Parts: sequence; structure tokens; C-alpha cells
Amino acid sequence: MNLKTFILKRSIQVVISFYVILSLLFFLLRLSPGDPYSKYIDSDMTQQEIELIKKQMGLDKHIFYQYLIYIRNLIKMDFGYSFHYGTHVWDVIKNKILNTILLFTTSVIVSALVGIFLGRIAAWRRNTSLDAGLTIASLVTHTIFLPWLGLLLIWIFGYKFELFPLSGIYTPEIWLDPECGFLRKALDVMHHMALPFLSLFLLHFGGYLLLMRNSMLGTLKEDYILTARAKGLREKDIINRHALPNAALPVVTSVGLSLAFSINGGALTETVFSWPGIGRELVMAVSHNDYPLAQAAFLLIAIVVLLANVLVDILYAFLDPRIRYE
Amino acid sequence: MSELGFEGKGPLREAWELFLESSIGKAGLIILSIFALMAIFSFVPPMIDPMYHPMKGVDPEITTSQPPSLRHWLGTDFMGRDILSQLLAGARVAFLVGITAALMSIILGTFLGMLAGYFGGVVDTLLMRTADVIMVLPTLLVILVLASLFKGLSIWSIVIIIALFRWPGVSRVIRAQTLSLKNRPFVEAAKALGASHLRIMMRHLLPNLVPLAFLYMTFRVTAAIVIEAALAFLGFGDPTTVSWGMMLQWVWKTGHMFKAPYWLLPPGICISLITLSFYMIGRAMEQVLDPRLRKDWEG
Amino acid sequence: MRLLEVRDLALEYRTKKGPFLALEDIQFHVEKGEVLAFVGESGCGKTTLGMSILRLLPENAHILRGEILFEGRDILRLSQEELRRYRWKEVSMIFQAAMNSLNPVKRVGDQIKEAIQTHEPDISKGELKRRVEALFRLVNLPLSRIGDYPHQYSGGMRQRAVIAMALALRPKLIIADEATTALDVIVQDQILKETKLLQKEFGLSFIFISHDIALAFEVADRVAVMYGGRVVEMGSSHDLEDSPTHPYTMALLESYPTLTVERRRLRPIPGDPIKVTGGAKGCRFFMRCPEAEASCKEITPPWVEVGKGHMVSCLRR
Ligand SMILES: Nc1ncnc2c1ncn2[C@@H]1O[C@H](COP(=O)(O)OP(=O)(O)OP(=O)(O)O)[C@@H](O)[C@H]1O
Ligand SMILES: [Mg+2]
Repeated sequence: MNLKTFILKRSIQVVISFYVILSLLFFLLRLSPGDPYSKYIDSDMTQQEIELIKKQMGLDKHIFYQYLIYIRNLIKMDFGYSFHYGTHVWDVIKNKILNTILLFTTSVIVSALVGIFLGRIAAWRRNTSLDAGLTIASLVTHTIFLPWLGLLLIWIFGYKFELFPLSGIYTPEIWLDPECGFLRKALDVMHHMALPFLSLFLLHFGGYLLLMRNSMLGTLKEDYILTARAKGLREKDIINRHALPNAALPVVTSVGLSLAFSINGGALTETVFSWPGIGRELVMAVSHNDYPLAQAAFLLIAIVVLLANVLVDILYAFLDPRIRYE
Repeated sequence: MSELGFEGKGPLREAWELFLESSIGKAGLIILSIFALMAIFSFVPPMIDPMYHPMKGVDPEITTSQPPSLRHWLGTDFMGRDILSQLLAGARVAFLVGITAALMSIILGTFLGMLAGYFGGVVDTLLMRTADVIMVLPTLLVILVLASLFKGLSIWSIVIIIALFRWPGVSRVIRAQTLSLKNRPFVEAAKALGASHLRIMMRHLLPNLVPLAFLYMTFRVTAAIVIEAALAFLGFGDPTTVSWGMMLQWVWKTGHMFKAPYWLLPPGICISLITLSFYMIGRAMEQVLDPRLRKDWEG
Repeated sequence: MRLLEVRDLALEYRTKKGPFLALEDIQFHVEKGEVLAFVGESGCGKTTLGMSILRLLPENAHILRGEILFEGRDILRLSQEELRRYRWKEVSMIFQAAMNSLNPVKRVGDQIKEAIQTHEPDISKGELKRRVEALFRLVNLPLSRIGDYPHQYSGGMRQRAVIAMALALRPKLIIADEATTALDVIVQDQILKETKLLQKEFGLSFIFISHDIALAFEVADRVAVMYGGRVVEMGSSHDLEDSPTHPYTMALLESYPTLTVERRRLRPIPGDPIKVTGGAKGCRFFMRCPEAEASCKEITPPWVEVGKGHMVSCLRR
């Protein structure tokens, strides 16, 4: 099996998984108490509007027909009408996707890289105070309650020392000023992203560090490490060229497996820092009983996680020839 | 002693001794027992004075959040409710949610994993593909969507949903273990003797799978506690119970986070520490169960 | 000057259960162009001995005393950098787990190249490629597989690749630790023949480690029999085959079917291999020896020369 068929296979799996998820959502909606369409209808709507929505969703027709309409609407990116915003769901969500991806991917990638780097050091200096310090720090940051960590960061760095903004993604004055160049705007976003990024980073890097440390210790006992040492390689090269590429593999796997966990954290962080992403939109939609918006946000997040999973798998296949050349 | 010797310790005893060798495991146990004490003491305050009822008890003399005092050791919240009593009640909820959800997901995961591994074929494919789909779903967000569908969830429905979405990880491990046990001589022998599938699974496979399941249980406990806390923090907890997550939500939503550290710190510390303690115990158990992680000589 | 000379080597592993004396009183030498075999049952310390010559011992191994002289230089006194340059250039090793001694995520050809580059950093790309191709031809591996990963090789091919790697720098001594045990007899035979040719051609010396005494007789010029961390008998293959002297050697010979004699029923050596914890006195084989008497338990047997260069360490001879 080469890389192409591998990617193709995984992509088909993603499409199937996604299909299962959206079908489940459809049937759960029918199973939930009350009329299904009541979730799409707001008390402020006029009778005409209600009739229109019922017709659009085919609610007067058979459930199978409704299902087909549901799928068709999703394909057309028509997620329905958000009562809270009073606009189409897609219009609410579309410019939030990038914000979520920005925060999510940077924090996952940076924490994995730092975890691998520090885990390597911890394994290399095992049973020293440095190792103990890194291990304890990882245990603590990895199990800290994320929203609380966010609140602490806001309190300390945002409020007490006024180093970073308390919330949001940009300063309106800067973005409205036509004079401001791209760099200025980018720096402004980074300034806003610092604390949410930091809290996600702190939560994640410890897990990767601990995993990398164990994986590295296991790898160092492998026979090919002995071979490398026998060949007269420098210790540095043994670690970097032979141990690292093997020891990092389980970490990459775990990045994939923990993506769902990471996106949970992403939604919490977005909420705490008022970061305008899909996760926060989902949380708010649920508190506003805005079901169409909640459903769309959830489906989008599911897509993001599924695709990220494929990317991780491709990366893994790229790093491990045993997968690439089956 | 005698020639017969008392060296042959039971496997449990040996595992326990190995566990105690790990300082991480010991530290975890100590922290955990403090929380257990808190949970037990949560039954005490209301007996002294209804003012200390974590949910309904309001100090009549206090109308705003108050810093710690002799009367209220950790201060009060914005309605004049005692924070310490809430904290103690939160410990009870954390244990309840964590342990029941973990136990349920472990039982589910063990059985499904064993079925998949033992029968293979269609059963296996079906169960494992389902597991794959569930695994990529962010549990917290799923519960949020369900909460919006069912208009609020009680603590028990939260527990059940957590269990339903947390079995795949365990079942994969159990399945792999079942596959390797399935072809061992003792199982083959039982088969040859005409034992039924049920009997083979219950008598021969399950006892060998339980230790592994137990290891996963500690990690599941942390996951369940964190999910419940996060849900409560976002305002979708069970409104009839006080949990640490809910306490944090109150600090946050009533705008006290910059002015009432005595209220902001304790619940967060508790959630983080109880998670940490279960996590540490899990890691120590991992070392007991996985000989590769053991240090068998001096460093 | 002898190529390799080991004098009075003793080594212990420190474990949680206390120290374990894995090698004691090890004394031998290897001449240029010679094949010396070490045989003995599992756990007698063969691998430990091989590893000490390259100083590749695990962290808990402690050399208590002795010298390992390679061309007169004591390996135990080399600095890290000197040691690095000594490894593979002077002495290379084919490891017991040859199957796993290739890194799974690196191309086989690159792993061989790496060995050459480490010791000849200035080598040109073209020359490097030529050298690797020559090595592949030498061990009968198709050149088209140079860019493959280890998992794409069969077991026999991996074994050849490992041998090619051991030959890459034309070392003076190669330590082959159970190099062919995992292979089937035909491949094993083929590889042994090829190795033998190479050895003759380049005048290599070999330390050939095996638990199979018949194989050792076939391959080696001299054979050393080990038991419980000690060498109990050493001499030329002929002498040992024709007149095994130590009771343990005799038992070993009986427990193995030889290629020359018709296949007999295998007779296992009675008793369990020993685990020695301290510097115990007496003969290590005492407990299992059919000829043992009381003094064997008390007195460590001295070396006796029973023929020219045929030494045995047994009180009863
Ligand atoms: N790292 C270690 N720590 C403790 N004891 C060890 C260690 N490595 C080896 N030993 C012990 O030292 C003894 C010699 O081991 P060694 O690997 O040298 O045996 P061997 O002769 O190569 O056996 P085999 O034929 O099975 O390969 C064994 O009893 C083994 O249990
Ligand atoms: Mg060996």
C-alpha cells in the first residue's frame, strides 16, 4: 500500500464517519422530547415564517423524506436559521472557522513539538533533578482544570499586570484604522492569542512530554540503539538520528487520539477568553437554545477533528515507513 | 521461617508493594484520601446549622461575597452561602460522578472489547468501527449538543452519557488483550472440553482482563470528573447539586474573579488536585502492570 | 603482538536482588586471522563477554578487574572519544538479535553508509555509494534493495545486511553473537560458508558465539566452553572434539547431534543452569556434575594443560 492509497482509504473513512455522525444527530433530534421542528422555531416568528420553515424542512412529509432534505441542505451548506442572531447560521459561523483553526492548530502543534523536545531531554537526563522537575511540572499542568487556568491567567497577566488583553481577538481601533499594515494587525492578534494559547499549551505539552519520556526510555533499550552505539556514533547522533524518530511515533499517534480532547479544551478556552471561534459559538448557542446554530457548530467541529486526524495519520505514515510501504 | 517459606506472596500483595515503591503512586493516594475525608465531612456541616447547607443555606447577616472569617472559614459566595460547605459537597459530587461514570464505561468497554476480540468477524468490525467514530467525537461538546436537545441534563444523565462516550479507549485495549488470550492453551483446552462461549468469557477471559480494565478506570475517573466540572462551569450542570465546576461558574459569571481570590482559588485547586491524584495513581499502576516501565536495576 | 588479549576479566551486574557475578576469571586471546568460538548454554555470559570487548555493557554492569588489550591498548582505559573511534573501525559486532538491530525507520543502505561516514567523514558521495554496493554484492544482496527499509527484507536478508554492515569498515575483529541461530538450516549454512570465505579473503578474526557446540567445531579454529560465567575448557576444535575433557563439555557434546555422527537422541544436561551471586568458591558445575566429589565444592579448580594449548579447569583431571 503506498501513500496515495493510504490517504484515499483514510479519506473514505472520514466521509463515512462524518455521515454516521450527521445521521445520528438527525435521529437524536427526532427522538428528543417535543416536536422536532420546535427546535427550529422561535416564539417571535410569525405564522408565515413558521410555515415556511416547516415546508423547507419537509416537516409535513415522511421522516425519510425529511432525512433526504436534511442531507441536501447540509450539502448546500444550508444549516438553517439562527434565532439568536436572526440570520442564516452559515453567516454566523463562516468567519469563526479560521479563528478556531488558528488557535487550535498552533497550540496542538507547538505543544507536541515542545513536549517531544522536553521529553527527550527528560529521558536523556533521567533520574536527575531536571527530569524530576519536568515530570512534576508536566503532571501538574496536564491535570490542571483548564477553565480555571484560563481565569488565573486572565487575572494575573491580564488584570494584575495588564500585559495582555482580557478577551477577544483584536483591538477594533487598530483594525478599523486604514493606515495600519498587515504586520501591525498580525501582532495585535498574536497579542490577544497569547493567553488562550498559553493555557491550551500548558494543558497539552505535559501529556506529550510524559509520553515522549517513556517512549524514549523504551526506545533507548532497543537493539538498533545498541547497534548505533557500536558503530561509534556520537551520543548526540544516537539520540537525534536513531532514538528520536522512533520515540516520536507514539507521540504522533497520541496527538491524533487526543484531538477530540484538545477540541474540548479549545471550546472551553474560547469561551473563557471570549475568543470568537466555533467552540464558543456552540457553547453560546446551547445556552440560547439556538439548536440550528449548535448543530452546525458541532458538525463543523467534527469535520475539523476528522480532517486533523487524517493529517496526523498522513504525518505518521510519512514518519513510519512500515505504514507507508505495506 | 520454615523450609516451606513465606516467600510466595499473593499477586495482589506483590502488586501493592510494587505500587508503594512508586513515590508518584503514594503521593496520589495521600491526596486522594484527603478528598475522601472531605467527601465524608460534607455530611457534617448541615447537621450543625442549616446556614451551612451548601445549596440552600444562606447566612442571614451576609448579603455579598465575604472574605474568610471565623464564622465562614473560606468566606461566602455572593448570596452569603458558605464556600467551605460547598467545597465539601463538591468532593462528594466529584467522587460520585468520577467513580460511577468510570465504572460504567469500564464495564461497558471491557464487555464490548471482549466480545469484539472473542468473536471477531462482523461483531468485531461493527464494534470497532463504532468505537472509531465515538473516539473522534469530543465528549464535552457532544454532551453540550445533547443538553440543548434535551433541555438540560440531570447529574445521572450526565454520568450515563459520559460512560456511553468513554468506552472505546478501554475496549480497544481489552480487545487486543482478548485476542492474545484467545489462543492460549487454557482457553483452547476449555473449548476442547466443550465449554460454552459465555463460560469461556466469564471464567477464563474476564479474570485475566480485569487488572487491565482497572488501570484504565483511574484514567477514566479523571476524564469523567473533568467533563462534569467543565459542563457545570459552562452552566449546564445539574442545577440541584453543588459541584466545584458550578462554584467556578458562579465566581466567573457574577464578576468576582478579580476581587474574590478566596472564592476563585479553592474549587479550581480541588478539581486540579483530584484529577492529579487519580492520574498519578494511574501512572503508578501502569508501572505495576507493565514490566517494561519498571526499573529493575539501580540507576 | 596478539590482536586481542583478555586477562583476568571479572564483571558483575548490580540488580535489586544484589550483585550477580556474570563473568569471572576470563582469560583468552585471539590471533590475527583466527576464529575463536565461545559456547555454553543460555545465560552463561557469552553475550556479556562479547559486549565487554566493545564496552557496550548496560549501565548496571560493573567491571571488577581485568584488562582487555586490543593490539596492546587497554580498551577499558580508552576515553569516550577514543572508544568511539575504536568501535566498528577495529572491532564490529553482529548482534544476537540481528533481526532487530536495524533501525526500522531508516533505509538499510543509509544505515550502512552511516557506519562508514562516522569513521571516514571526508568520503565522497560517489565513493560511499560504490562501497555500499560492493558490500551488498559481497553478501549476495540485490543492489535494487539498497533503498529499502528493514521491514521489507526477509529474515535472511536482514541477517546479510547486518553482516554487510559489520564488514563495512574492514575491522580486524568481528564478534558474531548467535549470528545465524534464528535462520533455517539452509540459509544458515549458506551464510556461514560465505562468511568463512570472507574471513579467509580478508584475514579477519572472528569471535564466534554460539550455544551449538557442533557448529562451533565446524566454524572455529579454537573453542572455549563457558559455564556460569567462567571458561571451563579451551583448545583447538580438533582437540575438543576428539578428546573433550571437562565433564560439562562432554555433557554438551552429548546433548547435541553432531553433523558427522549419526543423529542421536538428544540428552539434556541434568539439573538447572546456575546463578552465582557472589565470588563463590569451588567449581560452578559442581551441582550438576556426574563426577563431582566433596573437594569440588571447596576448591576453585586451577587450569591444567592436558595437551598443547588444550586447557581445562577441573579438579578431577
Ligand atoms: N542487564 C543485566 N542485569 C542483570 N543481569 C543481567 C543483565 N544482562 C544479563 N544478565 C545476566 O547475566 C547472565 C549472562 O547473560 P548473557 O546475556 O551474557 O548470557 P548468554 O550466554 O549470552 O545467554 P544466551 O545464550 O541466552 O544469549 C544471565 O544470567 C543474565 O540473566
Ligand atoms: Mg547471548
